[in-house]
Amino acid sequence: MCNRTATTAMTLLLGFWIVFGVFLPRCGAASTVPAGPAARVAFILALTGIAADDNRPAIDAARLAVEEINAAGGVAGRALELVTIDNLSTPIGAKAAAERAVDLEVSAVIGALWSSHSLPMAKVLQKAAVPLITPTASMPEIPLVGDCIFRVCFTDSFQGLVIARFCYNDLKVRKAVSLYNVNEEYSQRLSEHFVTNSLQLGGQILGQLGYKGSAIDFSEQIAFLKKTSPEAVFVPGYTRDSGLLVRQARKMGIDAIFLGGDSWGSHIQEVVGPELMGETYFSSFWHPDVRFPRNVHLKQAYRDRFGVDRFDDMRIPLTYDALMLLADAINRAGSLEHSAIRSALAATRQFQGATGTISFDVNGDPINKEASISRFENGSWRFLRSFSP
Amino acid sequence: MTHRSIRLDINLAILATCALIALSFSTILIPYTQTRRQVALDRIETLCSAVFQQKREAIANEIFAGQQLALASSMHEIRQVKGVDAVTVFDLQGDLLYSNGDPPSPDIDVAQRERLKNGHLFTRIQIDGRPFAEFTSAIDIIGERVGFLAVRFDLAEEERDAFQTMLFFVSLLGATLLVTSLVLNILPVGVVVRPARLLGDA
Repeated sequence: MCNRTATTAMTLLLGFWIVFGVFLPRCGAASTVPAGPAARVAFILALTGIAADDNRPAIDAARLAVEEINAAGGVAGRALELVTIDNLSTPIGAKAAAERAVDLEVSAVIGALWSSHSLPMAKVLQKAAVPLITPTASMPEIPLVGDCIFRVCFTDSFQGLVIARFCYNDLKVRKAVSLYNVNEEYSQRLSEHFVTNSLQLGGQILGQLGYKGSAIDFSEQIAFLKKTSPEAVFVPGYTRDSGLLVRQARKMGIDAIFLGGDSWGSHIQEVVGPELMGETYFSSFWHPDVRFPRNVHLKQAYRDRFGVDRFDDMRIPLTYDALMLLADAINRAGSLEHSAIRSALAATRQFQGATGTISFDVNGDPINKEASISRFENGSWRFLRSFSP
Repeated sequence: MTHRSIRLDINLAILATCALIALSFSTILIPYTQTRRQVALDRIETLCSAVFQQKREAIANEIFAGQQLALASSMHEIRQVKGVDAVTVFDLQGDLLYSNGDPPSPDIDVAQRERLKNGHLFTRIQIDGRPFAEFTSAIDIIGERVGFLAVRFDLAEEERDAFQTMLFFVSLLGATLLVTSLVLNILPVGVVVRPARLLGDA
């Protein structure tokens, strides 16, 4: 047991030092970085464990944002130094990572990307009065932890409503089933929001069934689908588990419409296989083709920096927005004091991000953030329509 | 008279031999069954420990994050292991959080929680006359204690196995004694005593 704990602690430290080492030279390389001690911001995400593949794209986004911030003069007259800490893809790991960030006396924290990781972090950081901005954690309760907690994405209550409306009004689905990940509060809550809204619209929910986040065999869920024969199946899980479920269901002859939440990501096609996607939709925070000026800039900057012609992972613009918004707030505060940064974040109005315009409400949620629905087609995803709160 | 005396001597010798054999059997049988029982308990302890270690991280996070369905699923997976009768999870105060057994393992008192600081406990218990072994451990991860877990293992099969071994040895001893008595009563009389008596009479 001691060995295991020691290994975990080593992994945590290793994750910290590896990325710590990666970011500093980059920050130092920019010609306009202010001299003197840097302003330290922690970025907590999954570098190891089940969420690592899902979270990885955010690292490049953070790297690009830090380079741009430092090239533009840093924050409050200092260079921005990003300290990346591994949350080990677990709630307890996320709590330990947040405690580590507090020990490091960071000015603010960005992360995590999953709600189950962000919630324990929020509790630790609120207690220490350290501002937190989560890029993609959509569980409604997270900013309600306290006044230091913010996010740049929409909430699951809104997302559940959007998917239910799209399913009922646009797809004319009347009988649906929801299969959710029992290890993720996000998944259960989004499923509940979808079910509640579907029932209110007049739809019929033939059943809900959970599965474990680490599952690789979905035969029980597929048997459930065969028994209930729904017109649509809502799977509010993450890329890996949802992808495997859809893939196995399609292979077993389930031809119902599949719908997913923001956590599917466009990369789910790689797990399912484009030939098995069938009629499949998902909701998202963003689409590569949106014409916000900052999105156009980000796509160009990302292409120049990483040589990637097109990125379509929504974690990239949301992480980028979270860091840019934090830098904007620190500059407006003119101070690295936690209370000053928190006040500046709360006062954010009309911040132009790559994912839209961000103004925070009293809870720390963005006001009027749209959700879009896309359909997978021929290995890509086509924007269908957006919904406003 | 002589005949009867020789026969009595033979039977006394048989009884003495039987007593010696029974003693020899006992000296082998008792340590043997004890060793077998201890080996079985060690195997069960190792099994429980391995199952616990395999699920520790998942269960710890499920307790910590309040994921009731996931916790129930993890505990159900442990219960699927052959011989496991109940899995019970307790909070930091040792109070019952969730159990998939009937009855659930009793709450963990302060003294037990103190002992669990030094590692897991493995004890034999009886419930309604049925034998069980109970593995109890604290659930710690990244320096964080989130609760306690008890795995109750049904020892009925092990007890039955030990009883069958004992029965086998006792039957073997009984059969040996019976055969020995018969053979030693019939053979010496027919082969030695009667010819000797006939020879003497002649």
